[in-house]
Amino acid sequence: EQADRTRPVQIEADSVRLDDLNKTAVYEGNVMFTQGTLTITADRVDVRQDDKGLASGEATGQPVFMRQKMEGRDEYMEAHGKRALYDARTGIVKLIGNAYINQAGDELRGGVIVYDMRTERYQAQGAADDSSKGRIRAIIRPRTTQETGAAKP
Amino acid sequence: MRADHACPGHLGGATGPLRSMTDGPFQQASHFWLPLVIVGGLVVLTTWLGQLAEQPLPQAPTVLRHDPDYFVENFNATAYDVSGQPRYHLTAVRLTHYMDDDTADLIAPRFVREGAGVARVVVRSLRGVVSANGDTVDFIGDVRMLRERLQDGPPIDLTTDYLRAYPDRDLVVTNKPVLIKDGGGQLRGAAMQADGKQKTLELSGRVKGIYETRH
Repeated sequence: EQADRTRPVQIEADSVRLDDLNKTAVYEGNVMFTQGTLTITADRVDVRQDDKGLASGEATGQPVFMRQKMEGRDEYMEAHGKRALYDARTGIVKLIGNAYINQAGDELRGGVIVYDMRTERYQAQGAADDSSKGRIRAIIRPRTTQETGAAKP
Repeated sequence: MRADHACPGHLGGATGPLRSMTDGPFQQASHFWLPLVIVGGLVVLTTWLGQLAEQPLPQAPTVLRHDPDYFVENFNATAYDVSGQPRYHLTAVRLTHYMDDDTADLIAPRFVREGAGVARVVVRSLRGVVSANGDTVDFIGDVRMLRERLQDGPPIDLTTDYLRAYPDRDLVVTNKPVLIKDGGGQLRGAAMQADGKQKTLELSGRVKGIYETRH
């Protein structure tokens, strides 16, 4: 949902280490990152702050799971990947390493997937830095007539 | 050959066994044993009297009660490192030292750790205890620790009920719940370890962080 980005971020984990040198808080062990309807589960999340609060987060896991409710409808976006880079300012999440996203039934797999929470759009990029062959596979769910009918204003 | 040739008198007949016994071997023996018995008796007597004289006067129970032997008002101590730079200061409204276990209680202690390349740390609490050899200082009650950032940024502000500092090892630990205000974030943990040398501070037990995101 759009309102997620203004909501406070809540992170739970087994431990957290405040690292002065690179000004990050490193959460490790069963990490649960929630912000409004956005939830991310991972083995480790590095959080960086700036003067306006939480700036960014980098999650790693086997894999990192992500889930978020779509704006104004009872459907969800689910995604996973080896790493997830979340920029709290722009609301852009970059999933890296066998990335997969399922948005209300439409699926996309690829090396890297970039998801923009504001527009709820995603794009897959060839995985230059990833071991997979960079192939992208998408499955677009056919809309039934009532759905398409309803979509038109 | 007679069996007991050592005894010169004849054994005597049945009529006088007692008499023969008195002037027989017993009489010789008494020449020999009597002085010994007397001397022995004297020895026992003198040692007994000696012990009686040396016995310490009856006193209060010997175990030392936890009584203070001195106290210091407005206590202020500074430790220096090898190169003569001040490493930490420990101040208190009052320090009370105890003779039996060589520990010291502090009222309103304040500990400041500083030095080149070390994040400045200030710890305050209601009460404190300095260990016997002084290698740990316990902070008890309304403990507050402020740790400066190496670069810019607000200090880490930590509150808990109990904190143990190892001044010489640059280490601060607690096994009590901790609340940390770190910039816009608020972190809670069940235990904490802050290492000045590695410049890290770690919370463990189930930790929870809440971050505002102001736009």
